[in-house]
Amino acid sequence: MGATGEVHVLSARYDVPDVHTIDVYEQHGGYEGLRRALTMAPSELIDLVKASGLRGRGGAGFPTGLKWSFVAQGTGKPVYLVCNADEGEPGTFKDRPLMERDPHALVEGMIVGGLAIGSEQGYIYLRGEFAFAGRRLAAAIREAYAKGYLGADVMGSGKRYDLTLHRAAGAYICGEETALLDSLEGRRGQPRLRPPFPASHGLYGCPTSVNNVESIATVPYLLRHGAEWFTQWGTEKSPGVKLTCISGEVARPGNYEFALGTPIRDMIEAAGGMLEGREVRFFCPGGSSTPMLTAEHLDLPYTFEDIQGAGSLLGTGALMVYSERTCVVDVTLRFTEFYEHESCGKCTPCREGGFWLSQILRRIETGNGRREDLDLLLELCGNIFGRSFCALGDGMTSPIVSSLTHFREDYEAHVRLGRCPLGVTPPRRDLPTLEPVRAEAALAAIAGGGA
Amino acid sequence: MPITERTREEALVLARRYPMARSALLPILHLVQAEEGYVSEDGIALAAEVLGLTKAEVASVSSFYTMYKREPFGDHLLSVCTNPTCKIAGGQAIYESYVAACGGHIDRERGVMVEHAECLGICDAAPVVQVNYEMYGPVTHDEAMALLEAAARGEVPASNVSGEVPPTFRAVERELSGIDDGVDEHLAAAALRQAQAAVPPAYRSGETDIPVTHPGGDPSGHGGELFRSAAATTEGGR
Repeated sequence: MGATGEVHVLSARYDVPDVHTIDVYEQHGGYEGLRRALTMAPSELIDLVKASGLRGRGGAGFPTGLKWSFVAQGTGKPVYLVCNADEGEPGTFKDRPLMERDPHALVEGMIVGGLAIGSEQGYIYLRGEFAFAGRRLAAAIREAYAKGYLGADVMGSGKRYDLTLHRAAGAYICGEETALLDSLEGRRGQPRLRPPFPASHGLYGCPTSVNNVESIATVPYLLRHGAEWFTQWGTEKSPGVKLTCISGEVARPGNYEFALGTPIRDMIEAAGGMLEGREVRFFCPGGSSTPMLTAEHLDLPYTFEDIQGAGSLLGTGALMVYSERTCVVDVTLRFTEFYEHESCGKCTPCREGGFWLSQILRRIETGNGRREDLDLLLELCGNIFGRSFCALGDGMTSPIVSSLTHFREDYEAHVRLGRCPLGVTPPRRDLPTLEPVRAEAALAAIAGGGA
Repeated sequence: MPITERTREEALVLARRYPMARSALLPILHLVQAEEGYVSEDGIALAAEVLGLTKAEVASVSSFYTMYKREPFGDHLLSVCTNPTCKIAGGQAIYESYVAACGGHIDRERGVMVEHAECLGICDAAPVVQVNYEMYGPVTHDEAMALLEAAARGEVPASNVSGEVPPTFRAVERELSGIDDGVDEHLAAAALRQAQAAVPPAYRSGETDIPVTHPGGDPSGHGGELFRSAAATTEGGR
């Protein structure tokens, strides 16, 4: 295993004054990676990324080099590289700072990625609410065109690359790659059935690779320093460094960068430790859709494989840490309301399931829960998990199943006491009791000509 | 109010940026909000006409996304994050006080709309309020209420995160449309080139590989009318 601990690699330029402008960026090694990439064949570029072991930073952790190697070639269709900058997973705030502070890193990475997969057109699909990041990226793209890094003749190489900044309009689901492509085509952002995969039939039915901001911004560094340099950090299965977002009840929440494999306890320590007088009770290791872990998991090394071994996922690298002062049922309810709101409505289990899960969790949190509700939640989750086009439905079940596994006694206390034991939510007695209409009752109502 | 000719022309410019015109629908709807302050009937009609879609198709898209507002409210949109980290830091209380202070979600007299937002991707500054998509955080309850008052007076201070003073809602929507990004010629030339590829881009339905064409627009399904007219006026498509 390589070195661990806090590092400043991708975030090294964050505090350089005016590095968002092209001249300062160039003074700090900017566009050197592209210069080298222009001397290499596409297959060499893909081999380099493969050798680095870089895994996608958007949540799934799929190897970036492998993804690029799947992009269909020689079809006669244009090939597209799409950057997923629709950062929206609760707890995640790593791509926005990168785009605001070091936007040219993404622009350079996009051009290099384009060379690797034989694409002449890139799209940055940016979350609409990130107005400032959009301003910075638009300015960076303008500068890159003016200096000849973008356009019909990239750095005099005779190769073409164009880059379009596309600002979205507010829908978490568009962070799912096929929903993103539908949205970029001007549709409702709803996931597609796969296969066919975007590598052969993506944007406009053309070969497409969709990659996260951080993954793309890492590639120019690989060109400058080599694949081996990257593997000095992390483990065999999770090499390199990772931008990490630490939030919740820590003293200094913020954006940190760590070598993969750093123990979670050390990461929380780097963020100033817990607020005074508080101790870690539970945390989400990689965003709201990654199952919660508890204080006993604090010594886990932060790698894809170790977190997975503990029953969760590294996700986007968003560590949300909570203490015994925070009601786990309330946090779960809020996450569930999020997924209920953000379900695109395409698949019934996710659309309807989210509604019912919220209803049941709300009645538990407000002191109206019943003992059988706990098993009802698990049963519903079992009927949602794995039954939708995309992973949003699966993500919806993660906080519920994991919190019920680790903190069932919290749920039981809510039911027993008829209120939130921590008093986070005042008990309510005015909630309408909604019951799912049983099929036989509905049929009887129809047969009877009315309700 | 009917949409101006300038907006119509700008919508066409946006459409020419993409090898398939429909891709410009989200940017055009932002442009509509820049002119109308919300997605108006006239705006829907404009997008439909420019892209060769039906108004129902446009409305089905605009209603899917939370940033497209369905009624006018004025110059300032305040979005309060109520996801767990912001909620436990006081975001939920701020949101509820906002709604109480505005007597609902829209206070047309003061030109303010308040909404609860899902995670705004800045949890280290919890609790966070956005004014016209500019971030403020962490804010105390009092600071948040002062921000609402400042917005109602039209004197919003600079963001403590970006250092920028947020433009009005319409101005930020114009920005989001991308119309002023300044690289149009390049993008139009690139789009035209792609539309003329050996096997050009095609509309496809979400689930099959069958190209979908619409009788009203993009008649070939491979670029369409807009590109024929663009080809006539644009040089450098090679």
